[in-house]
Amino acid sequence: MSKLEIKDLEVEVEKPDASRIRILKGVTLTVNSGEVHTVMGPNGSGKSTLAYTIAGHPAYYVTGGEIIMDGQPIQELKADQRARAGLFLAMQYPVEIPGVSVSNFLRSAKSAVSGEAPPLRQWIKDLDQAMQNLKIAKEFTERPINLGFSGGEKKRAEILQLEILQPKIAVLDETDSGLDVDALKVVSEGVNRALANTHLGLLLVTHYTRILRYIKPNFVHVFLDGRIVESGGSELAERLEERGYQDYRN
Amino acid sequence: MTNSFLSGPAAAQTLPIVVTSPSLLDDETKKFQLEPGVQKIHLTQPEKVLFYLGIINSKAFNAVTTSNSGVSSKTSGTSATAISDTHPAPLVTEYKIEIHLDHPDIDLQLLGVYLLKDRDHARIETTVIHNAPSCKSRISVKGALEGSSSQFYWSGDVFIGERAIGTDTYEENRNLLLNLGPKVTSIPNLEILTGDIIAAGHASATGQLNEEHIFYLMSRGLDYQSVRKMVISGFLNDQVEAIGSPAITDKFKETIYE
Ligand SMILES: Nc1ncnc2c1ncn2[C@@H]1O[C@H](COP(=O)(O)OP(=O)(O)OP(=O)(O)O)[C@@H](O)[C@H]1O
Ligand SMILES: [Mg+2]
Repeated sequence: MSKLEIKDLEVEVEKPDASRIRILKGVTLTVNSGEVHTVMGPNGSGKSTLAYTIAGHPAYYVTGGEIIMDGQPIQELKADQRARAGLFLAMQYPVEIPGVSVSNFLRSAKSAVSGEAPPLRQWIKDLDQAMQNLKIAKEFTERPINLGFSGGEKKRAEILQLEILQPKIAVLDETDSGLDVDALKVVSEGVNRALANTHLGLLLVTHYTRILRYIKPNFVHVFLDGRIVESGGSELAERLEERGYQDYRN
Repeated sequence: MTNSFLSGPAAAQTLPIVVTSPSLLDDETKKFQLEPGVQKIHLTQPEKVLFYLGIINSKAFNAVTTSNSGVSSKTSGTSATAISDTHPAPLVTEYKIEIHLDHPDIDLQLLGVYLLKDRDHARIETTVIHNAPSCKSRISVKGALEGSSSQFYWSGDVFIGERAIGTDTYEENRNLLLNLGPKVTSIPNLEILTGDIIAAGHASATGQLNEEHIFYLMSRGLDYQSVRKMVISGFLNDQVEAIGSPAITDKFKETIYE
């Protein structure tokens, strides 16, 4: 059992001119293994900021509150240490990295998070299977990470990493945005496999209820202006889809 | 050599190479490694030729800080040799390469790769002169620098003479700065005396490690040093492979992954 606790989290981001703006204004949230938490909120409300801050992006400064993983405060840890502690972030905009092949990167990453290099034969088998499941063509392993991938291919590659790296807690930042109907299904199945096989705890940031037809949330949180303003069950998502965020604005 | 580097080109020795291969028909690329110094090369056969050079300071290439690591000598009053063994003199090297394409249909590649650190200085001047019609040239120099004050200079002149109709040329220089100490000068220059060419282009770019790349890879569990190595070799792998010299490939890998 794993537990990610976010307590009264306040975050500032550094702008290119080195000044800072306050974005998260006290977020409290606990994700346990096996739970699916959905975060929905308007553009610019701070959802990705929350995701990046959990993952340890150096541009985001925690100015208040705590992030605790399995009882240990982690906000002082670097991104790689957090990943090795069992955190994963599927990014809203996965980064293209020239010259670094998917296969090379994935095997190194797997070795890093599991503490030992996977035996080659087993590795090839597992990777093949994971790629087949996500309908990612074999030749993608020899391509540079995300380079020239279509929007949907990038999202599928993020879920491939999720399945391979087997984190304890994952944040999926709009993984469903930009997916066609079939891809949405394939990606959701991948996430559901991870939920079933590894008892993953999930923080799912989304704008749409259609992914929630496949991935059933235990909790829905409404995110507005750097805060969670309401939490509930999946009925909350339905209401948001219908009415938008007008009920929360004054 | 140190002085001549700092004061610009000087009287280095001339090592003319004249490539005159009899095998006009085979399609294979002929490869030549270039040595430091001044070299004037006339190509007089319609063939594919690759000249390459590698400037690699093979001592560990993974210092993180900008601090001047050369200062903290840990010798205990032994001989001067011991000191210089611990802190070898910086690499200072200079190439001045002039290649004349004197026959139609020559296909020239001129590729360089470098890794500099500490106070290393490297200077590469390439000049390619298209004297004959329908020749192709590709000039590419890529490398990465770290350390307190390493410096890299590249100037690339391409001259397309009046008779060199149908010329196709492209030159590029790409540099990766790994910290704030190093300096790069990059000067591409193209002179065209005929309007009747296929293509003539140049590119020059000097950048730093991309923070978003670093974060992405680290967020998958890889520590900073591994990520840095991954990104540096990602930046230079294609070039090293295009050069295809086992000696340079080995030295490159050794230096990055040591
Ligand atoms: N690095 C940054 N520099 C400047 N402003 C930033 C930075 N990162 C985030 N912001 C600002 O913080 C606010 C929250 O951004 P964030 O990306 O977290 O929103 P979001 O809820 O994920 O929005 P979306 O639904 O559009 O993805 C925005 O106003 C954004 O412009
Ligand atoms: Mg976002």
